[in-house]
Amino acid sequence: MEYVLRTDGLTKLFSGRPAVNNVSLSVKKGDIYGFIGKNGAGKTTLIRMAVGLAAPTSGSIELFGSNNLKKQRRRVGTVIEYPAVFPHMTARQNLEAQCSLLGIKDASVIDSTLHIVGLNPNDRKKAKNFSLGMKQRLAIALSLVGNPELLFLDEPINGLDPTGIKEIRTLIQTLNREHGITVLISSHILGELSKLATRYGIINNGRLVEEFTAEQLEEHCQSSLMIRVSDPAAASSLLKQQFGIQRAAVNADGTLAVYEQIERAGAINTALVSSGLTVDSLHVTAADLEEYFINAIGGNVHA
Amino acid sequence: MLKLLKSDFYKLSKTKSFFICLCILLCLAVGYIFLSHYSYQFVSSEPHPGASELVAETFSANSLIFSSIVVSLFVACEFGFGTMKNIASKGFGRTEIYLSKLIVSCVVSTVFLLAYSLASVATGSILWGFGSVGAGYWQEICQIIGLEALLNLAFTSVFVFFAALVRQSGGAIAINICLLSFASTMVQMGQMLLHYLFKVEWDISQYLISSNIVVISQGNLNQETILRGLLVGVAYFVVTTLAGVWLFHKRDIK
Repeated sequence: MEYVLRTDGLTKLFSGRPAVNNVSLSVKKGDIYGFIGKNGAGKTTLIRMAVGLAAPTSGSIELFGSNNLKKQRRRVGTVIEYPAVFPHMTARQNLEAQCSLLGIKDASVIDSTLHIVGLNPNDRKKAKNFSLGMKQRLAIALSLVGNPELLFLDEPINGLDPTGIKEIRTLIQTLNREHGITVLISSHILGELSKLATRYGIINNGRLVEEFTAEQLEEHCQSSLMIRVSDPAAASSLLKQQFGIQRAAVNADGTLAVYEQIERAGAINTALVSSGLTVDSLHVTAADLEEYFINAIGGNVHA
Repeated sequence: MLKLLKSDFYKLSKTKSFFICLCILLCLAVGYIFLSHYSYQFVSSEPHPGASELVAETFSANSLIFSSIVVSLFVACEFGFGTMKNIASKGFGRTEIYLSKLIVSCVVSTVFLLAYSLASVATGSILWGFGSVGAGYWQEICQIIGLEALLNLAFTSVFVFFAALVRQSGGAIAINICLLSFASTMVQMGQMLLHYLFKVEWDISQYLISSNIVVISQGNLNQETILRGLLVGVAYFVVTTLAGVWLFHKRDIK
């Protein structure tokens, strides 16, 4: 499996305080990697180190399997935090500046890149008069100049309205599926990420808490039967004996989560009551990425 | 490096402040000559000796305030807009990026310097003619132009240094204009204080760029003046460039 980005023990200290603390992550070619964390978790700092805007305090970074980062960064495109565009220039002029920086002489690149992001190449409006969504698309267009194979998008949907968010989501999916670009997208808007990412990394207080695939997330976030019962441990044993249920866990709030045979909720309730246990409540629920994230950074208790 | 320069020159060509300042500078150059013309007519009935008398004077610090504004905007705005991230994240070295900004800034200040002088001399020549020149005139003028251009570049390097340090266009403009306007006054006050407190006589002001610009623009150059002008120009240029590159390497780009 080809990795486009690997970090090993990456650390960044600010005045002795770790903003990124011993992070070892890997992004595979073709992934849309969702990088999740609260505000101040270290997402932007890690991306800035990966693209050379900040120097790591310790640890290493590999891009496309190489330590020659100066050379490999030519294959990377970046949009970090706010859209970095020249406000007094049109979209075309912004791209012309970027093309001359990268030594690209083919003028048709500008038209095609602006078409990809849904901007009009002949629009004479200056970037300062663009909406935030248009600026974001222009910033993505700038990052696409030079045909990057890896895109770092740091909080690209912040401040956008629902239409703008959908447009950016569609664009990212197009870039990944039709142009084969690997994308690392950081966000704290989990609902959006869950519609996009194929792999996830959760970072909290500078530490990488967990990495998992979209399939693993789906498995963890599947429907469950939540039972509030007088003795959860006894209930769990009973369900194992009578129904053969192996996957059950006691949550921190004392409820019993059952992940199998949810369709037999009635029979389960009857069995628990018959054995002398008091069932206060019983309902079917399904976790999402948000709950998974909160549990991942907050901890959980298993039977 | 060539790609960086090409991109920076392209951005300069789209920078309105460059053209606005250039226009104002040209208007000031022409206006000053007309003012001189009417003033001269008022105080003297003799015809003006000619534009050749003011060539050296036109290479003094008249254009520097415009250079400080445009250079501050050109360098600091890249940080303010965030577009410095687009450059630095593409694998370009920090030294290359800084030197590219410095070279383009030097071109800006040289263009302003030459534009002011040419506009002044051209206007003066139209009004009074160029006038007669003695032997050695052109040699001295070439020396003056060379030294003033070097000192101009030294000041430009200082402007770039502070713009890269502050990374905000407003702050950079303020610092650079204050340096230009008040540095020699503050140094003289420092000299007076040194003399008052420690009875030390030390003429630090002769090592300021602005003092050397003024002395050289007055003509009648001697070996000492030329050597000091050269050393001051080169020293300020090299020290601020090295300091700027070091600082740019050290700091993260946000």
